[in-house]
Amino acid sequence: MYKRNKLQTKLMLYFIVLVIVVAGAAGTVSRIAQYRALNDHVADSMATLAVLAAKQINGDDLAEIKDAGSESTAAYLEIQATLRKVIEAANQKSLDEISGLLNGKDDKEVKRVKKRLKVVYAYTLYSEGNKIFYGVDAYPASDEKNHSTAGSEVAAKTKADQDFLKANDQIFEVLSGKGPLVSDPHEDEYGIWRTGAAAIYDSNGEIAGVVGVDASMEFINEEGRMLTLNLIWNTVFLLVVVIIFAVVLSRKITKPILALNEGVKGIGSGNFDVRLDICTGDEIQDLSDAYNTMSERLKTYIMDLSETTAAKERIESELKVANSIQQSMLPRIFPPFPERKEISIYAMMEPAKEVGGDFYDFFFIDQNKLCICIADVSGKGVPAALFMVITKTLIKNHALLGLPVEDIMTTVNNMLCDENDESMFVTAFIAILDVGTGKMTYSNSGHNLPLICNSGAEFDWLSCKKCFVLGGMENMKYTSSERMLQKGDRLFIYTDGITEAMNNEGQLYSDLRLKAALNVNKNLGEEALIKAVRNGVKEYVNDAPQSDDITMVVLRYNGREEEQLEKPSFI
Amino acid sequence: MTSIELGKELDTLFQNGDNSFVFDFSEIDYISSAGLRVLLTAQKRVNALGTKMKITGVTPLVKEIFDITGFSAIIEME
Repeated sequence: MYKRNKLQTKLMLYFIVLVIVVAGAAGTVSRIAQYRALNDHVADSMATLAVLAAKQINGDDLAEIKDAGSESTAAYLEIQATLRKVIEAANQKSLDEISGLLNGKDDKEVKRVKKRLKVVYAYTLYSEGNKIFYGVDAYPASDEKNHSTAGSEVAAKTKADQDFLKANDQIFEVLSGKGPLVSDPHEDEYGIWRTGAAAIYDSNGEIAGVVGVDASMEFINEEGRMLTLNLIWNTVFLLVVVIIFAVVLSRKITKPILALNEGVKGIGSGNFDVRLDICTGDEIQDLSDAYNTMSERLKTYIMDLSETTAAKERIESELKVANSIQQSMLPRIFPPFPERKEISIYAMMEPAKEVGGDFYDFFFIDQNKLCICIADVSGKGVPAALFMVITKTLIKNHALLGLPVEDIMTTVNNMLCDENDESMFVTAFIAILDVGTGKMTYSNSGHNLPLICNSGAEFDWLSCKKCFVLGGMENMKYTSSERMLQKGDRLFIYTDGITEAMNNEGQLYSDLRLKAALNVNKNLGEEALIKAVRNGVKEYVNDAPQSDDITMVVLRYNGREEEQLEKPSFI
Repeated sequence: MTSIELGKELDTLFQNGDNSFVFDFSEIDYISSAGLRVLLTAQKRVNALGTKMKITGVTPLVKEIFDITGFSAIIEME
């Protein structure tokens, strides 16, 4: 639910921000435009008003009005009436009413009234030298507060005059004939004002003075505020509409996405049967179609995978059984012949896969003759393991017949060659040791050279006559060699899983390393020696995978039984 | 080329009627029992056909493997 809200909320927020930005920008632009338009409009109106008033005024009459005394003349009153009309027309109120309002007792109220009025003052001005003087004023002398006395200088008497003087330059421009204009805004305690000025001409066409019309700019600002307020209301209204719209729209957009989300979650939890029916005709529909195809394929794939996995597990469990059968075929209890003090044996076989093609074996043929052998079937895994079983059985059977080693090799070779379509072959080393005499006869059919260590000396290679591998070709000749073992001599036989163990750089462990490892550890017991060699190989290959089966056997000849007794019992 | 690929290649060649082979081993520095098996199979088929095969440019390590396993005795080498 949390995520559902998140997507919708996000969309809504985007919409709202968009509306605020757009409305704000549009509002600002239109406010500026309207303010400018209003200002221009006001300026135009004021200039027009001033020009119209100026045209009604006789400049010759105006020239007569230079002091308070002339305020009662007919000329003054006529001009005053014209100016009055200007104020009354602009505000749609009689001047008496306006005068009354402006003379109210409450200053704040007066301020407020001034802000509401459009044209507040109308008067004439004339200049003498670089000084400007008041002429006729729209307000009668009875309104002392607003009346400017004729002939009084526009000087720094009051703050308002000071501000007004800033517009002096512009008044001079009108007086010098530059035509009607509207002054820049100037400020006093009652607000911001602009003065419209137009020249009054006398009968000679000379400029006798100007008409000044003061208008409060406050109402323009008021208009602006109204506009802003309008904008805010419009924005609020828009926001409400947009939020409703956003909710509806985002729900419309998010609904198929949420459906997809549910479907994908279903796949995550293993439910591949959810099919989506989204017909939005856009990318979301494409996505949903892709989802449907994907879940269909996934379903098939997972079913296939489950079957494959089941089959694999079955094979693995069978291989486990095969491995334990194979291991149990090799003598694994050490010491194997606890009652036979003449020999000590230790051996190990570690297949690279579940089952391997290596094997070792040792057994007594009769009271004195011990047969010991090691073999390596070409290849690895199940085929090698099956071939290994046959070979092991054949060797043992023929050895138990009492045949000499070369005959065992010859017979087993011919038997392995029969119906060997796969050209599998075995390298083997078979030795028969007469524990009574120490005489060892041995034969090597293509197997790695064993190492032998005379008591107190070093391990060295046992020289063998070279013979071909078993099962390779029929009717091959196998020969044997002999060697007398002395008390304490040790024979080490192994498969190429040791010497051809590869490290991560692809380098082999090699014969040299094996020989060195054996000599370093030659003082160890049989079991410890084999474990030391195994650990050495492990360290060498590091984390590279075991590439071939590893098998080792070590045999120590302890001498004849009689030799082991310090005082033979029959003496 | 792995021993499996070599085996397949030889199968094809035998089927096409080729029956004499020379293997250039100058760039082979190791041969596994699987490789030996392929050579053995080829030698047996050549023997059966009464034709010949030989290996040239054998490197010392491979020669040692051929010697130990007795392959030197059944395969012609230069």
